[in-house]
Amino acid sequence: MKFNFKVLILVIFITSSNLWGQINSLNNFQNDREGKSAFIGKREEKKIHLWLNKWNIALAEEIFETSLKEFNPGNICAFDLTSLINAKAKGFGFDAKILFYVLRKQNYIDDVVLNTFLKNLKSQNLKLQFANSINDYNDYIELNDSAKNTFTEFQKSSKTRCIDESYRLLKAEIDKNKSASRNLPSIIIQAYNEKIINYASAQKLLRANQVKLNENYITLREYLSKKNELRNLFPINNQEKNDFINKLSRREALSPRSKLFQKYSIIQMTILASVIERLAEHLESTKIEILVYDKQGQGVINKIELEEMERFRFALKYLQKEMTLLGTNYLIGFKPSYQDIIAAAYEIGKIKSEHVETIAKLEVLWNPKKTQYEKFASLIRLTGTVGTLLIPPPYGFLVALGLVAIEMTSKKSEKLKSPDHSLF
Amino acid sequence: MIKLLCFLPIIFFQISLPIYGQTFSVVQRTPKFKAVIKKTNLPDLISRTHFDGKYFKIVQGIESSPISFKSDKVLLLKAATTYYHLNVARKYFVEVVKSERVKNLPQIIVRLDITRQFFELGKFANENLSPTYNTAITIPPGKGFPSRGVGPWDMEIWFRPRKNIHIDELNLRSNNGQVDGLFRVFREQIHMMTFQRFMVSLLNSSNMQSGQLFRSSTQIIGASVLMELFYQFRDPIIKLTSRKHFGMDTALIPEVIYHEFSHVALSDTLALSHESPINEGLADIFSTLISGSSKIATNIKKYNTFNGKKAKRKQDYQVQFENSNFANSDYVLGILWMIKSIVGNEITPNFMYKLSQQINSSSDIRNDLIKGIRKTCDELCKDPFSQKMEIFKGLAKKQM
Repeated sequence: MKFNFKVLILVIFITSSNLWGQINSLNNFQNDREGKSAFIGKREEKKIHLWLNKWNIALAEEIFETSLKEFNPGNICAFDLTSLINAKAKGFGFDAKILFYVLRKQNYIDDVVLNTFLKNLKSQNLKLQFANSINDYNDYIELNDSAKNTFTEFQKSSKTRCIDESYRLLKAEIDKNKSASRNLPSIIIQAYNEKIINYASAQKLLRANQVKLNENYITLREYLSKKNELRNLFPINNQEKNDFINKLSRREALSPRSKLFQKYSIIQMTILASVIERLAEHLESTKIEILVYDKQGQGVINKIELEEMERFRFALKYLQKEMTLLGTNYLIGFKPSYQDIIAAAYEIGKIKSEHVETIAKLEVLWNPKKTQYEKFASLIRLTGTVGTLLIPPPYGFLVALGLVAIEMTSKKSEKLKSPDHSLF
Repeated sequence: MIKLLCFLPIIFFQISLPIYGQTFSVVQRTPKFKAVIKKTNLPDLISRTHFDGKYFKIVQGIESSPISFKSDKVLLLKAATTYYHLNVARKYFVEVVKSERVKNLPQIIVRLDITRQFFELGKFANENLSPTYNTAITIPPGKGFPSRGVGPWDMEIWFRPRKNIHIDELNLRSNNGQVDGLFRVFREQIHMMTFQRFMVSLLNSSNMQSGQLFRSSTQIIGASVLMELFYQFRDPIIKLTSRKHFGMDTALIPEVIYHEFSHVALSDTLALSHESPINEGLADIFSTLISGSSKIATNIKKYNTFNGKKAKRKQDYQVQFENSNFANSDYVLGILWMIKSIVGNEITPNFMYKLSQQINSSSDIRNDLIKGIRKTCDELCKDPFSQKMEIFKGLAKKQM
C-alpha cells in the first residue's frame, strides 16, 4: 500500500511540474555515471594517444562545441551532428571516429552517446550496396497503400525529424507485414522509384537499415531528455563512476545503462530503483519480526525474530518476489532483469558506485552460473551412459569410473535454498 | 673484599642478561609448512639452567620447579619447543593485536606430560581418575581449597603426553561417507552398464551361436557379481587401508601451542571453563594467523597421526556443530578464515580480537557469532556494506 502511494505521488509530481526537459547545455553530454568506456580497448587507446600527440584536446572540444551550436538544444539529431563533425574532422585530415573516442576518454560524452555517434558514423561511411545501382533497379515490387502512406509520412517529416527516429517509426510500421519487413531495401528503392521519397531519403534509409539503426539504439534526443529529467528529479551531488554499469553484454552488445534508457521511462526507472533501495534497507536491517495473530486477528500469539542469516535470505527472497511482481503491477509486458534494477538504482543515485558490483554479485545465490567444468561434466553425464555400451569390454568400466569421478568431484551449482534450520 | 666488590658488577651484569649463546633444538615450520627441528635461541629466559622465563615457566607433570636444561633429550625438545612458540604467540598478541592485557599478564606456568585431569576445586584431579593423553588444555585460574591445603592458582597451560590409541577405542564419527558414496555410485554405474549390455546381447541373440551367447552373458553378469562382492566387502577394505592408531604430541606441534596461548589471550571474554565451538574456533583462527598457514597440526605425522584441521575444508553447516561435542570441528575456523580473505590481512588480527569481545563462551554459531561478525565489520571494515554482503554470501554458500 505504501509502495503504491509513493508511486502515485511520484507520477503526480513528474507530470504536474512539467519537467519534461529542455536540454540546456553541453553538460548534458558529459559522462557523470559511467566508468571506463566499453568501446575503448587497447587499440583505441593507442589511436587516442597518437591523436593527442598530433592534435590536442582543445581542438576536439572546439569541434564538438561549435558543431553543437548548430542545433536547437532540445532537438539534436545524432545523424546530422555526426555528419557535421565528420566533415570537420575530414577537413583537418583525421577520422571522426578517433575524435569521438577522444571525447569519450575525456568524459565529454558517455558510452550511450558514443554508441549513437559511432552507429551514425558507420551508416554514413558505409559502402552502400544499393547506392550505386539505385537508378538501375528494375524489379517491381508493388507497394500497398499502407506502405505508401508510411513512406509519404516519412518524406514529409524528413526535414523536421531526425533519420534515426523516423527510420525507427518506419521500421515499426513496415515490420507489421513480415514479407515487407524481409524485403525492406527493395521496398525503399521501390518507394524511391515511385517518387514517394527522394534520393537522399532513400540513401539514408538504406544506410540506416544496413547498420540496423533501430537495434540497441536510443535517439540522442530521447536519451538527453530522459537524462536531463532524471538529473532534475534526482540531483547527483558527487559524480561517481562505475564500470559495471557500462560493460557490454556478450549477447546483445549492450550495456545495462544503455538498456535502461532504451527500455524504460523515467517513472519505470524510479520504480525499479525503489526495489534495490528496499533490498539495501532489508540487508542492513538489524531486526525483522514475524507476528502471528490469533483467530480473531487481534492478539499476537507468537512473535518470531528472524536470525541473522534468515534476515539475509528474507531480503533476497523479497527481492525476487518484487522482481516477479513488477511485471504484473507497474511494468506490464516487461520482465526487468536484476541488472536493469541495479542500473536504475545507480542512475538515480540510490546506491553508491562501490556497492553496485557487490549487489550485482548477490545474483549468484539464486541464479548460479555454471563453470566450464560443470558444463563439461553435464555433457559427459549425458553421453557417458551410451559410451559404456559402445566401448567394448573390458574398457567399458573405465567410462563408468570416469562417470563416478565426475559425479564425485562436480558440485552442481544450486540455487539459494533455505536450510531446514532456517525459516527463509 | 675489594676484589669481590670489583667482580660484583660483572656478576650482576651476567645474571641480569638474558641467556644468550645457548641454543636449543626446537620443532619449527619451514615456509612450506614442513616440520623441522632447528637450533634456536630462546628469548627472555631468566634462568641459565632451567626453563624459567620472564613470561613462561615450563614444568613437568604436577611439579612446581622448572625443567632443567639437563633433562633427557625428548623432554628438552618439548620444553624448548613449547617455550619458544609460546613466546612467539605472546609477541603476536602484544605487537600485532596490541593487547594490553596480554602485555601485562604475569608469568604463566606451562605443564608438560601431565596426565592428571583438571579439577576446579583442587587443580589436579585425583590420581585414580583415568589419565588423559594426546590433548592440550588451558585451565582457568582457581581460588583454591584452603581447608585442604590447596592454594589459589593462575591460568596454566597443560600439554598431555602422547599415547597411541587404537582408532576403534575413540568412537570417532565415521568419516567414510564420501568413500562409501563413491563405491555406491560406481556400483550403480557398473550394474546399469552390465544390464544394458545383457539386454543388447539378448536382442542380438538370434545372430549368435548358443555357446557365444552363453559366454557373452557369463562375462557380462560376472562383472556385476565381482562388483557386488567388492561393494559388500568395502568396510574391511577401507579398514585395512586407513590409519589405525591416533597419537598426538601436543607440546611439539607449534599450532597447538599457539592455539592454547590464544585461549589465554582471549580468556577475558571467552571463559576457559568450558569448551565451545566459538572458543575453539577463535583460538584456531589466531593459531593460523600466528603460524601463517590455513592448516593446524597437519604435515607433522611424526607428532600427530590424526587429520588436523584445515580452514579451507569445504563443509556445510549442521546444527550439531553448535554442540560442545563438535567444538573441535573446523567449521568455525572455516568461517573465520573466509572472513579473513574478505576483510583483508591487515585488519584481520584486530577484527578477530574485537569479535572475541562481542561474544562469549555460551554464544552460538548461527546467531551470536554472525551478529558479532556483523557488528565488528560495521566497526572495522573498510567498506562495511560490501564486505558484510560478501560475508553473508559466503555464509549462505556454507548453508548457514
